[in-house]
Amino acid sequence: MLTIQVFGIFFIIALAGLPLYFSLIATTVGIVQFKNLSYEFDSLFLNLIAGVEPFILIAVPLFIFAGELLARGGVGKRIVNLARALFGWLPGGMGVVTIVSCLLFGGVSGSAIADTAAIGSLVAPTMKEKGYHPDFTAALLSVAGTLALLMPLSIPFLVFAFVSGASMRILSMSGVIPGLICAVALSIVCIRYGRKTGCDNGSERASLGEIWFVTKDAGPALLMPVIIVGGIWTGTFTPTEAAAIAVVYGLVISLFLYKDIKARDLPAIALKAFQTSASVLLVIGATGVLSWLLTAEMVAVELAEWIQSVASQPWQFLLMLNIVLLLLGIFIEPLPAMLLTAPLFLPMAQAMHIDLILMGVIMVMNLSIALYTPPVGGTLFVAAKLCRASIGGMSRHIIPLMGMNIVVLFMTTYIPWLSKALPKFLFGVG
Amino acid sequence: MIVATAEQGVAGEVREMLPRGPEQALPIHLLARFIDWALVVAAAVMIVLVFFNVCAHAAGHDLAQTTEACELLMVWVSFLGGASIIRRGGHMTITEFIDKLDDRQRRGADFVVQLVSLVVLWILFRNGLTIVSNNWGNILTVLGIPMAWQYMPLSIGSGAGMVFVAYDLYQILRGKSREERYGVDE
Repeated sequence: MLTIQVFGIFFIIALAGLPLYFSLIATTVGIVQFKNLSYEFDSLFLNLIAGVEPFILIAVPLFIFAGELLARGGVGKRIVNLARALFGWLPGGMGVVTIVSCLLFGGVSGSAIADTAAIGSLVAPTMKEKGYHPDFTAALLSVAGTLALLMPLSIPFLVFAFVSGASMRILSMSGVIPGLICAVALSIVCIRYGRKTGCDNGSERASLGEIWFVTKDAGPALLMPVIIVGGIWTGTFTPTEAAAIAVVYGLVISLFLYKDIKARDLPAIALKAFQTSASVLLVIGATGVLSWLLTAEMVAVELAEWIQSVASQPWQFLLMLNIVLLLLGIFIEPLPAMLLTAPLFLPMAQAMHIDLILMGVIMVMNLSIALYTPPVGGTLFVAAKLCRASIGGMSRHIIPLMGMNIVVLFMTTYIPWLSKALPKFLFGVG
Repeated sequence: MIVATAEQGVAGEVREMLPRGPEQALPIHLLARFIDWALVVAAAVMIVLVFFNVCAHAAGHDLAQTTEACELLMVWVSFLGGASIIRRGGHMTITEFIDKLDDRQRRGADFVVQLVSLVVLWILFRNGLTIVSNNWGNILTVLGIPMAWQYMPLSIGSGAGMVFVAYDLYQILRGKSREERYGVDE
């Protein structure tokens, strides 16, 4: 009963437009007041502070800051040049270039929105020139941008590692193979589009000299994930320390090597990055307050019993998890959706002996789909704005792209090897 | 009412290093500027400390002081950042339904939302003060300063947030639309 009341109150006020941070606090306060529960508010709000202070979470603002630095520091255009030299010759080549650029840039930014915005602003004019329909370009950008979330420096993976206690080292590698499969699947759609519409039959193949030049130019930026992941992989530094190194590396590249930003731009970039991270961290903290109440009132147990009564087998549970997350993602941004559902689903997954790493990959894949599911979504809006496309027009083109990603999602769900193979190869565990 | 414009406000080049945000009355604008700069400085110190920790770690030293100082700063940047985005109307919100309302209805919805936000912020502010007053005697293990310093941002951030929300409520009552209050890109 309390479960329904908690989620009922939360969804009503959140859908009415109250910011999620306040919705979570208001729900907690409302439940304590109206049910006459004997909890002191000051004790409850200590959980809010405890939710934002852990050392591991410092990685969140630092990775966002590093991503912002690289996004504004001219890394995007070098990555697009490299992808163009390698794949521009294919039919639908600019579409494939977009996907590869998003994949590579995602590896340094870890943010889907930054990925879509940075790559979109560079490829959208060329795609328009070639004759791609703006609705298709926007749809592709909104989907391809989310590949960033499956790459090693993914911010949702970091948050999942924090809430679940899973190893960030293993998680960071577990999304790479599903991400690459998604990229190949999306490329097939682009090649087919290029052939079918005849708008892009591919440009001339780049010479080896040209490929070497653009690789050398993009090299310092592409080295960043190698250094960061390599450092985490060898245990040289923790994810938080890796984030600090990413910031310093990003500063050196953007200020002194590419020189696309100036020192006086830094306060504004830092302000934006720390505002963004504050909005995420306060939701994390407020979710901690509500989760504490749910745990104290045995709501998680109540919900787990209900779910086990309708999904007693692991495959049924995973199917239900996918459906619930896809539906939830239509309304809620990925991070809050993960923060709200992880404390409920994780104990059940553990009871069914489902691997935490697999759960992390499934949750992130589902929630990345949510970013471009019409009518609302972060990358959906950014791409629509960049390409001046309509959400309705984009929806038609999103269907085959989303279909491909859902196929990969179910493959990843039921073939655990896909998420475990790379961590096992690199670390011997997974 | 004095309103901060591009020509007024804090003089000097430093002023333009941060985005101005929406046009607001001068006292509100100055408070917002102070919070934005405090956030940037705290963030910069935190980055330096974490990087210093990496260097110390590489040299075979573990500095508990930097870890605890970073955790303290993390609380400050979270709540100051929270106040800073309240001023820009930038907290994560599901706007799918209220975006469908016409201007007048949207202003009404915004008024109710901001009123509830004000109540929530007041609860956080008041309880934050209780937490602070209860923790002057408890000392952070390594830094040796009262834990109240770690808990203070809850009240400060919520208090500043209340000022911004109250000002927004006043603007709504004056009939200003969301675009006029926050700007198109905010």
